[in-house]
Amino acid sequence: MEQNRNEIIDIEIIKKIWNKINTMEKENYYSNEFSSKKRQELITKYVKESVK
Amino acid sequence: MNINYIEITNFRQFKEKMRIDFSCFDSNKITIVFGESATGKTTLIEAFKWILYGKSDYNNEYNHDVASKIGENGKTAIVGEIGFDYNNNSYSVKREKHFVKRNNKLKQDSSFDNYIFEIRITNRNGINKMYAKDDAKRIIEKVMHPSLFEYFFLEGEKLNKYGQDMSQGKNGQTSPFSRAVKGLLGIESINTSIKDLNVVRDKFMSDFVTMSNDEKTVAYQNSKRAFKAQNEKKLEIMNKAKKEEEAYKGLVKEKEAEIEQNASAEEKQKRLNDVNERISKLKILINNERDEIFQRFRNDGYKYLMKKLVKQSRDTFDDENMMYKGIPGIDADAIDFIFEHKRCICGAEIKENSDEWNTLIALRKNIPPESISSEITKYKERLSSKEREGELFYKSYISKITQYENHINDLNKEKVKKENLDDELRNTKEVSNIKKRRDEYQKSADKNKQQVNRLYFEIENNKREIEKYDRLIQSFEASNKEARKYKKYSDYCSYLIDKITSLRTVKEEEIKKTLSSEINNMFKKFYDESVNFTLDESYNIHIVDKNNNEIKTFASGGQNVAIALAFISAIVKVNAEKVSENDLLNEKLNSELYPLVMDAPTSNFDPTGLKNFCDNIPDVTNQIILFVNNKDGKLLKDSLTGIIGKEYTIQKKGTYESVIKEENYE
Repeated sequence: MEQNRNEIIDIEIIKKIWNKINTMEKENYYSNEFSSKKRQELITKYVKESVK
Repeated sequence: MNINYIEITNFRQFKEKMRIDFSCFDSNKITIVFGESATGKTTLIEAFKWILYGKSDYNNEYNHDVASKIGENGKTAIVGEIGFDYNNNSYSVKREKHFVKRNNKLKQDSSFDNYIFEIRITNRNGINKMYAKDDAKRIIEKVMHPSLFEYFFLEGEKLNKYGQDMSQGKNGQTSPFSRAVKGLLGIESINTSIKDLNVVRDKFMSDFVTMSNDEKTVAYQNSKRAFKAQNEKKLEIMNKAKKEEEAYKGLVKEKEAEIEQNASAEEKQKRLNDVNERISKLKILINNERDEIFQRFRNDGYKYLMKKLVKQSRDTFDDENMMYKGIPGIDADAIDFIFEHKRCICGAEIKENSDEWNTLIALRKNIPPESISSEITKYKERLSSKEREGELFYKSYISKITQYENHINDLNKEKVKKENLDDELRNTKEVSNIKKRRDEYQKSADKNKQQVNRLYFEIENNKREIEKYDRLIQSFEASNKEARKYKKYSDYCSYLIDKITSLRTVKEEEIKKTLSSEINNMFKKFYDESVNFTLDESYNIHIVDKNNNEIKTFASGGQNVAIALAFISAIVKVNAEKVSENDLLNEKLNSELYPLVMDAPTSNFDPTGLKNFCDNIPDVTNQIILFVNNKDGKLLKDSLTGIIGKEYTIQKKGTYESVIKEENYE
């Protein structure tokens, strides 16, 4: 049960990261540096939120 | 997505305002723009790129003729506009770039804010909304991401090259096709996310390493253990040294007792030395005294020896007859004086021959010098003197002998003492040797004591070090706990990377399978070849015969273009497929069906290939814009009869000027 729940959380996280990356990719095509930095900040935030 | 029109002014050779309206009807979805070589077909593709993204392959987009004719401080502008429908809205995208001439050079006009870039969106109810600059940029990127552009706005030469690269395995992971496919189908995003996750994971790990004192803790624990081990060893050595010290102290005590025990011997020795000294002195003294006794006896011994004789002589002279009969104190001279003066010494006259006179004559006979008695008296006196001398000598001689004898006695006593002391000392040890041994033992005891003290301080120092490490290790506990969180984050990133990577593998396999199938279908529409296409991990196309043997020398120019077109149409189709809601990696960049804008796509085809192209290209997507060379014009037009909605011709008016004219297609 716990494992299934975690699996769902993991998938949600991946999706979250995923969608954000895509959105940011689109939004920041001309400033990749900024974009990757922002993306990584978001991933950092998501990962920290997920691992308690 | 359908492109409605493009307008350009002062863009390269299109000096005047030019406009092309594209056919948007599904039934006649094709717009053809004819033109000889170098009239501006490729320029039009670049114009699309410039209007949408502000970039082109040219250093300067303005018309050279216009630029050269304007004077100093003169101004000019490039203007472009594209109209398209997207997602049930109409978009009008306008870009202007203004220039001013300074020092005979065209420079961007700073009186304009860089350039004008705006989009007007009109919804199906006719409501307009304007967006500018960054907002406009974001909208365009959402509609058609720049990474997609080159695969929907294809230049002929590039198309041929793409086909060649694909069929010759030159794609590589970073080739435009590879990137395009991955971008279109979401793989690139997956890769980006994996890269980002890797960066984040590394950062977490780096933070963990920076924050974590685990290594330090281990190091400190090791140091602590080392100090403890050292102390155990030192303690062992110290205890041994203590024991040795005690042992040496015991020996010192023993020697002290021995010294004490033998201290009387030392005193005896001193006494013996004194006795010896006295014996020596006595011997000398006795020798001298003996010599003196003999000497005295030789000199004055007779005085004693003649004593008896003297006594006898004196006794003899003490006889009555030998007594003196004269008047004591009167000598012959005194009688003779009385005779001469005939008067007594009392004054009375003495007459000659009187009695007195005769008495005196008789007296005169008995008195010295003529009197013997007088001589005897003198002699007796001398005897008495000699007798006294003899007595004196005797007394003195006896005294000397007594002294000598006393000294002999003393000597004998001392000799006895010496013998006794010698006997006593014969059984005693030399104290100085014992002292020497005692000092040696004391030295060893001191040495051990020093070692004990030194070790004690070292052990105490080590104890302080151990306490210090204990405190440090304790203080690291909290920070290590915090650091371990970062390790968890890093591990979680690794987990996500693995998960996404495995999902990507599955996804990519599915995509490749679909793409291969589409490519095969499409290519076979161009060329009826009994070959198959497979895709490798870099999206290179491998051509294999029916026996699955790879064909290396298959593609001609036309076939290359066919490969590229087959590939692109496959991508377009895969991209346009609706994604499943349950698909985890469902973020395709866009699932809109894009128009294909192609520059000279048919220049490499033979007549069969061209015909096949014309037969099949309309099936690829819902709008097709072709820029083709006049030489292919007739055949193309014949082959596409019925589906060409618009037709234009580019005519060259001069070196720096072309114009676009719409053909009356009807």
